[in-house]
Amino acid sequence: MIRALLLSAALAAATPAAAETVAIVGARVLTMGAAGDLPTGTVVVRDGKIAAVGAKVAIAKDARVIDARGQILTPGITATVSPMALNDTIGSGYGGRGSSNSLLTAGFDIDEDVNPNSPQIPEARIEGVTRAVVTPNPQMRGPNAPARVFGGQAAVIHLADLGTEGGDLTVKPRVALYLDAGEMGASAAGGSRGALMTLLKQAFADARAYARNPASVDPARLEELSLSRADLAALVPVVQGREPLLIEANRASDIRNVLALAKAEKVRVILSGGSEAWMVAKEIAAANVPVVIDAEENQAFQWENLNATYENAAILHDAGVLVAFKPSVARIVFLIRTPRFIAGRTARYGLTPHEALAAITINPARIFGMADRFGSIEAGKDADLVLWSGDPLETTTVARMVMIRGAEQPLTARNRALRDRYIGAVMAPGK
Amino acid sequence: MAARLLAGAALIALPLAGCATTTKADAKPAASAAPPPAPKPIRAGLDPSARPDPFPSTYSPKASGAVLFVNATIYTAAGPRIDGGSLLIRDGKVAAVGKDIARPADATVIDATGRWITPGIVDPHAHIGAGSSPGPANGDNSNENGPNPGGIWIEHSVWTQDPMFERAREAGVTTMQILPGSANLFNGRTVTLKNVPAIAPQGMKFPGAPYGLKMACGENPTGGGPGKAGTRAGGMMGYRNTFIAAQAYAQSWADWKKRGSGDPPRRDLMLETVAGALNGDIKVHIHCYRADEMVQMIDLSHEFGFKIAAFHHALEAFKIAPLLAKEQIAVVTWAGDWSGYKMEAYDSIMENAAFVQKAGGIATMHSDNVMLMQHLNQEAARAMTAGREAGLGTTPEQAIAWFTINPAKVIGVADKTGSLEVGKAADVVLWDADPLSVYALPDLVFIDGVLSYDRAHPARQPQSDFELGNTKRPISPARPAPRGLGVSQ
Repeated sequence: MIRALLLSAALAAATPAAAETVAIVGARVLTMGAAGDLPTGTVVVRDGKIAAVGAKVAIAKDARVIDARGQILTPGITATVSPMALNDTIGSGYGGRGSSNSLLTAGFDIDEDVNPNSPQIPEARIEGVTRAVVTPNPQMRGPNAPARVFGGQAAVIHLADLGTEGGDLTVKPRVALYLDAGEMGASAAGGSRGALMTLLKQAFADARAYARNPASVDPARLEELSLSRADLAALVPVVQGREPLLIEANRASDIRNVLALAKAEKVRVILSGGSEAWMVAKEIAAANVPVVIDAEENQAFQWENLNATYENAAILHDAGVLVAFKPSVARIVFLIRTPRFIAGRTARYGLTPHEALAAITINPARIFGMADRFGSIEAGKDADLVLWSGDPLETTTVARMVMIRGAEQPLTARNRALRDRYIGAVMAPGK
Repeated sequence: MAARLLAGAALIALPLAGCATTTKADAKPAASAAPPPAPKPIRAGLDPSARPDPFPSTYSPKASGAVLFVNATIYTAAGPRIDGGSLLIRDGKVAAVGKDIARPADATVIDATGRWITPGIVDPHAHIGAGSSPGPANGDNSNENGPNPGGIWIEHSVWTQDPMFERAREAGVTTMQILPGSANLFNGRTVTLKNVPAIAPQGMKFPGAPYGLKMACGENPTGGGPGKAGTRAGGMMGYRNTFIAAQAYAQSWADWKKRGSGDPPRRDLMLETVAGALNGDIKVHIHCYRADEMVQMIDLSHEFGFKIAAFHHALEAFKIAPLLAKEQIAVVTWAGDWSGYKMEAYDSIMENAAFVQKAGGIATMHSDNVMLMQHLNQEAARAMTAGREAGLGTTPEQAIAWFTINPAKVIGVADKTGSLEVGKAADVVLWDADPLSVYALPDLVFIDGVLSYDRAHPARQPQSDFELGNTKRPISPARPAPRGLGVSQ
């Protein structure tokens, strides 16, 4: 079964996805959509899209059938607030890229830093990660460069193998403008939360003035704000409500500040981090603000995380907040393969396994405005599908088939190539 | 410890005696007929053998009664899984384990139907207490950049109020080795702690545990910066020069002991630790990622005649697993998620521990990280899964050993904890599900027979002074483990 499947995967990867119809038959299907769970379902994929899903679906005669009995089919996983494919090595901290240029902050676009040939991509892909919301990291500025209030523009990418010709992974650039409104943001603004909020309001006012008349903005004020024309231009869709701010805030009072700012300035906000979001869950729900949490932060990384708890996700969910998980920032390092285990662990603290799975599939798609494209197994969406050997959140489960935009992906990656090179020495010692 | 150190140093010094130049002492008795003068008293602290354990453990477990667990699935870490098993603990020790154990009249009985038992988790590589949460509370006290960094003892940095001790206990960690960081070639002494609440680290120190010496290879110690070696070759020169100095240092103490008079050599805390490593009293733990560097360090150990207890992180152990097995050097690693977080971590595979196991070596999981420390069991399970997928035949029993008995061996406390065998410490975790499942959490944690955490009773969940009256974190109710996504909800 495994061998047959792998063989078919190898063949399929060489075949243009659009050319064939694929029917995945017999799996337990967790659609994460309106159809819910199908104990035994069929999913038909055609032209890169999901053509049909259901307990009983007609299969075209020319369809390639994948026998998925005994396995579980889910939508692909989205890594959210991710540095995927931005760096050759991720580096300390949570990695990523940021602008060191004092005249480029809000206008900095991470999209152009994405390397489709990064070995991180296949290593994440073989674990069922099919999309990422890549996000700039204002901490990763150059040495001695001043801290930045705005980190820059996040982008949604897909993680499909594009072959040696490469190509563009970008699905949608500029899905949100990232900034830090916690301790780091306060530090960037001159050491206090109050300074930060004032600076932001000023920046928004300047962006509105710039939108009305680009020639009207006083160059001296630009210098004072460290905002270039490119930055002001990038803020225009934000102040006009067309693009959300992705705001890192952890302390409950910082989150309140953000909610008040969003209301006063009429800007859309997605919270990131949110260690203490559970303490202001009702206010966040009332403001209809989604939260991308570091779900397993249950320790005070800094003072602003003092009340971090695994209960965060469940309390927010119960209050009606749309919750997604971002990978663990942790103290030292960013782990690119762990979204499903973060979800599994969080399912021990009041969230059901389904809700936890939603937080790494459909919810990030909804939060970043992509739910019409991916995140669930529903007709018309891109065919991002993962076939698992068992419960996708379990430690003992592996991905048997990964499909992105209708193309079955090779289950190869640099780490597996290294494994295969050296396994002979332990399988047959002395040779 | 130091007494043994000096005794050992004297032994080591013997082969070197031919090179020694101290002939005066030998000549003295012949030259002088008068009785020798009364030995000059040595000021306190100048002779390490006078007070060989200057920061002694004050930990002594509270009295505990007999507890009998019945109907449990038991991973003893000393044999195959026992289904429908019983475990009796008494007076802080494992008293009996097996299929059928008669119920002593005085024992509290815990029905563990549907639940699982493992030894307490042993984390061979943590920095909690030294590197605190929140960071500013105690700072990052792991690294020392002074002129003699190898002379530090990390226990002197441990802040016992770090809430991470509680988080780790709730996750089943009962014993841990706290290490200094890796900024230097020689980073100082490790300390092994029991995960019990205490005012000062002395109250946590694992009685009888040997010290470790933390060394480091690669990017951290050889990177640029003041006092850094600058290159890997410079690093190797630094190791060799230091071992040469430590050999001479041990010799000078041996000579002084033999002489029995005169001023003792001047103590040097770094060389004292390195000399202890040379004679085997102090276990050598080396932070090392790349296979080429591990091979270099193995040759270094042969050159100076010391034993490497373990390579830590060791992401490229899979490339040299048979060599590591032959040398009996343990591999203290992760499941393999950490690839590419720095250049020397570029080659990382999920099967690393399984390779080491298959080659006949000693594999262990470690945390190095406050979050990972809370699910070392899952880390082992994922590494096991990768090994099984690769056809290495990794078993659940082996995976359990990776976070229990094997790290206990690495630290040097395997005769006291790490497995459920009669006479060993009753460090026991009762899990609500298979401990290799993502959904498993400890229901009860016993340390030396004392109930130290009870998920169902907040009163039995110790809280550090730091969090008391300070945090508003909710206490998680004891929910049953979810059924998972493989079955209809």
